[in-house]
Amino acid sequence: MSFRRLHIKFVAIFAVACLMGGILFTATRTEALRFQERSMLIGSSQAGDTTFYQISFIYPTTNVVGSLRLEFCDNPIPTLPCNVPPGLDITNATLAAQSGETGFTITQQTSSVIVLSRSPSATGLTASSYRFDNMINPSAETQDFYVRMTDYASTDATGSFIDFGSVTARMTVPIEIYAQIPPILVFCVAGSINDDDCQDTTGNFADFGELSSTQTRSTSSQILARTNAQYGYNITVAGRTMTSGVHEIPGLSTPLESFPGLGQFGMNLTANSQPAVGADPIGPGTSATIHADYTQANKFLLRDGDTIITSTGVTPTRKFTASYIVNVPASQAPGLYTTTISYSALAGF
Amino acid sequence: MFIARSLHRIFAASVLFALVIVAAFMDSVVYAQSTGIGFTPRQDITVRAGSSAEGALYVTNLDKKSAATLKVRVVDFTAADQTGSAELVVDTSADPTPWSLRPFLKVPDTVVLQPGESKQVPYTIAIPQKQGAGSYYSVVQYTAEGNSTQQVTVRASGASMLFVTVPGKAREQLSLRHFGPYVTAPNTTNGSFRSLFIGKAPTTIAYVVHNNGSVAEMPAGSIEISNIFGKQVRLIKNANPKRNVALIGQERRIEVCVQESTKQVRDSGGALQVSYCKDPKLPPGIYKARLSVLYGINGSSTQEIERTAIFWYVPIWSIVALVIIVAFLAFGIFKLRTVYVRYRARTKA
Repeated sequence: MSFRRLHIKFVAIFAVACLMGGILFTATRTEALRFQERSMLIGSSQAGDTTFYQISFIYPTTNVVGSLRLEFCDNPIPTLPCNVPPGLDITNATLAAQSGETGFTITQQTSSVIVLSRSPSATGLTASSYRFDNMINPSAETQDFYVRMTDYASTDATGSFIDFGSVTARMTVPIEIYAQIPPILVFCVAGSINDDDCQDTTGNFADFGELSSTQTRSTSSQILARTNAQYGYNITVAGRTMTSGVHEIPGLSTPLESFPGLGQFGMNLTANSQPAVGADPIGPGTSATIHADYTQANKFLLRDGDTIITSTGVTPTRKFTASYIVNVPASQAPGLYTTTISYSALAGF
Repeated sequence: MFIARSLHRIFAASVLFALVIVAAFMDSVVYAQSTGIGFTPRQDITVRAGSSAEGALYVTNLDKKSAATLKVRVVDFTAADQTGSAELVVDTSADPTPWSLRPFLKVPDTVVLQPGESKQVPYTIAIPQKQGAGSYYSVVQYTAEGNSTQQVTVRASGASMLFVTVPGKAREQLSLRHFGPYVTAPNTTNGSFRSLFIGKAPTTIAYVVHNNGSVAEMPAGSIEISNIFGKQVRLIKNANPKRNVALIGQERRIEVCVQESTKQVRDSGGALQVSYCKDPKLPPGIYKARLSVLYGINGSSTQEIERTAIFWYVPIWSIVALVIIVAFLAFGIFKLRTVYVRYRARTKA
């Protein structure tokens, strides 16, 4: 065989091998049939409670079933190791009721596994339900846990399973009066915040002084926030431009530079040089991000309802400086122009 | 005459003195209202139809000098975008949202906090007997009262989120829209899904679900990452570590770290454990990510979402190395062929 023919054959085999490998890699494994309409009702969702679990589903086929295995885990994926949710204990569980496919009794039982067995018989496509009493919930609040269910032709849950599926439940935090301070969102706004705890603030206003048609007037206030909650926080701004009776100074709705002599009112949350006002945020809570429109130096705006600051998890203290600018034309009607800017802090969800 | 003049002088001096006192008093009556609060960011509770529950939300006045009079009201909210940012329905005349807690939730109208004082704001939730299963949520907003005639008055308000689940059969439907590695743009909460990574390995995986049901869903499950040979390289045990919620009608993006780590950050509020995504240090190659999450409230059907996504991680150095190897192989094959041709020629001769 010539080298050329050998070369062509090698390339062809290599290409086919790559193609087969790609197909095998991307192809999903054949899925066994899943129990349909699966659900679980628990009597109490509070951590540590002794309560009942009622598991319901529809057998997807009419196969002969002799046993049903229920395994309680901290994740639903059958191919992954099953870790028992801390505190969960079904050692003393009893089968209090059953409907649909019946005749089962508990034949194997540990702190996290129950095997129900019966004389093997064909299942119908009917809704079945099994209620277990004396189930002890996981001890961690907000713990998610899963029940992996598999059925078998054998009476002792051995051999290949026929159908499978999972149900999930979640523990909730009990309503209680906290003596300590668990999750909290700390937030303050002032003309000046002189510490990192919002305990020493100065004024709830900012003044421009006398407005001018030849010079930009600027001022600032400060915002501080932190949270020990995993939800993070969002801070929104609400407010309109400065008004005096029926007269108003036009507000900036998109980021724009300051132009003396034009009617403008706006703000941002960064250090500026024209005019020289404001400061960049300080503090260890660097995961709190400012909306891009409000971080452009020397550009100002104010859109009512904007979310100006966002954090997505536990966030240490971060202090922001809000810079405000105002310009008025020579034709601006005289008067006392005022506005109220409201900052609202809200947890994420 | 002298007496009259003296009396006149005394009277004028008295009036002047009184005016000075009044003026001084007016200057010192400065509007003072605390601008710093700490509050419970969020509570999740379960209340059965036909029953009621009582609870409390923690509120504290951080200001050590000024009292705080907080107006308390229940406000509805919707999702602002794909993140966990809420948009308050501030129009008090608007109809309650379909998931509003306003018909069921009672809170006090005002809360007065002395400087540095903390209180538990009590609330009562009463769910009617015929109320359908599902999710009901609103915020309890605290707003500082008071008026000011300053040019720019700044105000702070906070709001605690309340999520109430009424267990039972509910309409639950999450549709998966996207899944895969996700890259967030700097200084924004937006980004894009990518499947090819040349510079750095992906640090974040995300999935986007659209909620078409009547329950605010909190999907729970795992994400498994395996290489081209099917070997698991990373297991993200908790696919929703921050307990993100997909609100009713929302298209929600949930992000998780491929490799999460935590660091302790010293803060004025104490030491905080802050989580961040670290470089997963994946070797170059083709990877498959498998998402497996479940959702379903107590007593309702468990639904599941499964999806796989393929991504490539090909750092620059691996491309260079591959080019060098291929060039070396090509050169080697060329040299071998040359030797073989010469050998054949010699043999024929």
